[in-house]
Amino acid sequence: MKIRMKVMCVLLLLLPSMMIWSAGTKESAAAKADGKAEITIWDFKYGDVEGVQPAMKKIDDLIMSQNPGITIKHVGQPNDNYYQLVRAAVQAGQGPDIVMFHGGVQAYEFDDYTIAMDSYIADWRSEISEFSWAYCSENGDAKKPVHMVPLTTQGFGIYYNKALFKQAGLDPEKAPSDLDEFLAACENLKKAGIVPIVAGLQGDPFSIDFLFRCFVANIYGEDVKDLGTGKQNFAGNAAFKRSAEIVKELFSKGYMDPAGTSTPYFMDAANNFAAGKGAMFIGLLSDVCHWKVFCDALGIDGVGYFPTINFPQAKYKDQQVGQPAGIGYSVMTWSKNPEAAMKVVEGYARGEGNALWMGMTGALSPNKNVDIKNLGYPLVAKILEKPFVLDFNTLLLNEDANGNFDRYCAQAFVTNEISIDKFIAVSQGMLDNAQKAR
Amino acid sequence: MKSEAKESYLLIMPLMLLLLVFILYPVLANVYLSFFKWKGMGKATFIGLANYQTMFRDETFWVSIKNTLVLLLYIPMGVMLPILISALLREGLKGWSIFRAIIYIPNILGYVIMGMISSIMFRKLGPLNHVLVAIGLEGLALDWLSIPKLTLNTLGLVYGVWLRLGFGCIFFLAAMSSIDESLYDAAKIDGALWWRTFWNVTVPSIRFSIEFWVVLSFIEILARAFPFIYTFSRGGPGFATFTLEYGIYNEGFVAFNMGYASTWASVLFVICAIIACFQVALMRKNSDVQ
Amino acid sequence: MSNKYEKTVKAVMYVVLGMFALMALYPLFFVLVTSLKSPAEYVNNKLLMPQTPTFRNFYHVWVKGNMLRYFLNSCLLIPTGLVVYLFVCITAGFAFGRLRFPYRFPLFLSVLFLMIFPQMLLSIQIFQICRKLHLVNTYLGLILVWVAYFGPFGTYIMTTYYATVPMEILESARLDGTGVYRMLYYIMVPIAKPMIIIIVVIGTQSMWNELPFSLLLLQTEHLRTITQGLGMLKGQYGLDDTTLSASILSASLVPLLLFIFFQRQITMGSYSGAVKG
Repeated sequence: MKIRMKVMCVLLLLLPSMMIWSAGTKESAAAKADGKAEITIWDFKYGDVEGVQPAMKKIDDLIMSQNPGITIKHVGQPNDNYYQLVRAAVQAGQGPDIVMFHGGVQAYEFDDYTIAMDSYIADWRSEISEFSWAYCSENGDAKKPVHMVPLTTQGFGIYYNKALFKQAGLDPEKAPSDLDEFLAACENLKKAGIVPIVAGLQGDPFSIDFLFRCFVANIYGEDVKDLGTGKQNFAGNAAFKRSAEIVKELFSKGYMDPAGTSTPYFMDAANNFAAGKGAMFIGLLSDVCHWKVFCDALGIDGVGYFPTINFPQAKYKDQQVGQPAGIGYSVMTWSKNPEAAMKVVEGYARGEGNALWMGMTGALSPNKNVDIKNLGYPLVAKILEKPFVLDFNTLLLNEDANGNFDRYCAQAFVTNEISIDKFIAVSQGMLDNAQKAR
Repeated sequence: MKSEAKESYLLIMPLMLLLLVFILYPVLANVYLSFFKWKGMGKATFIGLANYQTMFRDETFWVSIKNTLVLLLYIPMGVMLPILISALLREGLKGWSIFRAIIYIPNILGYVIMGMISSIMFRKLGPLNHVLVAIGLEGLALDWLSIPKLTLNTLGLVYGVWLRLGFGCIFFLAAMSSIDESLYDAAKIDGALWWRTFWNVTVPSIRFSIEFWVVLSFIEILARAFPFIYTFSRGGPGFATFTLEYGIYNEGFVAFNMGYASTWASVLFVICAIIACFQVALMRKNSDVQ
Repeated sequence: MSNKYEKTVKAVMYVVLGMFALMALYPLFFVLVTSLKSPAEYVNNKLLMPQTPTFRNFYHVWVKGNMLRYFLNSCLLIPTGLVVYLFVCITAGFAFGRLRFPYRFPLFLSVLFLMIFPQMLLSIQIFQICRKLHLVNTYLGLILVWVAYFGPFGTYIMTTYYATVPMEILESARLDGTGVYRMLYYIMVPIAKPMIIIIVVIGTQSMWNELPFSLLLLQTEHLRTITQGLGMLKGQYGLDDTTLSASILSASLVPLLLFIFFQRQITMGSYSGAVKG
């Protein structure tokens, strides 16, 4: 009884002390901002303590040493709930000065709450291509003001393991140049007991999703943009139908890793490819699952790359699919120090900071002044020689781009619930949705 | 007796106030929001019943209802199994308390964590299939997570039955311990078999606990499954494990169609309300008995 | 013959129980083994014991992931939350269970009704309310929301318990002229110790694992809980299974310890509570 009373007293004391503690830390943070510009950054990448956080810490320090008046408070937020938090901040009309966005639709939704940057970036606008700036402008319209500074260029393509190609009697220096060669290569690999395509299909079937982005680049080329306006469509396009049939064929012939259906793409499938468990992998160009990771694992000269699979029905050849801005930073309208905030963003997007960003994280920077050859990976220089074709995924609504398309891919190719015609119909539905929203 | 009303109201005041502000208001605000188009920020526009019209034409909505109903079919099993095991444990076998403790472990780890573990367990090349192959049951080593019907039923079995077993055992053991021991003695004298004793003595004696557990099961499947499904299968493959609750998340926090998400939520609200009415009926009966 | 029959029955029981125990233990075992492997080893050895055990994953989680900080936050926040939770559940449970007042039953039912709603449905509105009340980024706000959300279940358990406490105890106290509050503090709290331990365990477990509310209400780094820390660690592209396992183990450390520590009391609680009814 007595002991219990003591316990209760201690617990009751906890309550006020807790309140004081949480309030006290808040006060000290406010006091620090006095006289100086304290810039708060939110992003969904800072939580990656191995790959990204060390680089960002270094860049923050660099920017602070170059701009003595600025203090940077970098806050990582969980990726899964990120936009929920940003919306909550918008509703409250207060929050971080700088916010990281995924390029495209997700960023456009916030155009009303991010500042127009044109006057701030005028001096160094030429360092980044207008292709990227247009994408980062209000609603993706090049004539409208820029609202985001791009930090990465994202893209997709097919990596292959040269040693395994050799083992299967294929020429490791020659990537399959068309569908017939590609299928023949798969057949040879399969005969040699090698998994032709390492796939990650559990949860979200990204391997198929990314492959389609490569196909669509070849089918529509420069006209991809018109998929958003209704001038081009999936429905009624013979080449698009053919691409779906090709994917079906890859499954029916067993070229896609049979274990792929229960392997998550991030990171299991990528780890499998890096460990030499299969010959080809549909990967990314920036951030993760890309040239740097694979070259580190399989040797600088051990990895080959080709951007897409050419097939006769497609109008174009060898198109490289890409997103002009994978991620980027925007400055929020409520920021009390937009100048200082823009200095921080600039620190990330160009010069020494940008070089650090690219060198340490394996991100591809859209900044032309950063010397890619310096990184010591000849493969990436080869990839970047080609101009990019816009990724059709960036034209879709958020929920279609980041969920529904993967679900349709799963239904059509993993679980075989829907026919190819139905797959084309629902894919066309996504284009219609995007048009309706405009 | 008469003077207690004032004190009583004061005692339930903290709970009532909290519920009013943090639960009742949000629930009502949600129903209100279902008549608006709102992207989660900025201004909301009133659109009347348009969200409801969209919903009833939405294929995904009906799929999610169907999936939710399939999951609800696992309730009988989710109720029977813990009762059976509790009855076994109650026999006072040696080391029964250790069993009970072990069975409770998944509950401690929490739904998010169990979802992650389950998604690894059921992979084609995962632990479960390895075990099945090792004991000669190759035929059962299926690709659990990529056959839609199988994934949904796996979800029902894992979430609806197995995961709630531990808590169920503790709950029913507590209930069973109040059964009059003389009932068992009488059954023994009659020479009744274990199975008959279970049906004729154990189950009727804990009837009210079972009824409460059934209601709780409905709640858990309708309104608490999201963290598990999200980590287990993300509603996939395709829309195979896409439930009503998952749809609310998807519309609300992926598409950010907050008004439309509220429309889905209102449906869940109605279903929950119906179940709550059942619960109320149960409680009334229960209290009459008391 | 009856001896043989009993033996077979017992054997069958042991087999059934053993199977379920294995099924419950295996996930924990799997996570433990996986957390000690390096990613490179895990690619080739998914199931067996680690060949070269490594603590790299735990280093990643605790040192690099800043998990210690979040852990301490949780350890400070949750006991405080529990005090409020217990206070609310015990007072309300006592009132519903043993006192008589107008509208007692309808009020009790409405509490149970409000237990049903999913977090998802509430979280947006709760954030708006907390913002208006200036409770965002304070522990007080989160605690109040937690208690509101988890309270009904705890109240239900306390109510059913108090409903079984013999009326004579109350009556004799009343004859002594003890007031309701004194009665609650000196008689009803001590008497309910076993049940209180159960709701402490249930409460800790639910608060420890809670994510949607804490995510929206605690947005600054220095306030974060361990469950939030875990969510952050996943980053944009998820984690390797090995690191994931280490973080799973780390995050469930406290609930596990709590359970092992209170194992006996939980048992006693569930019994004495029911025996009296």
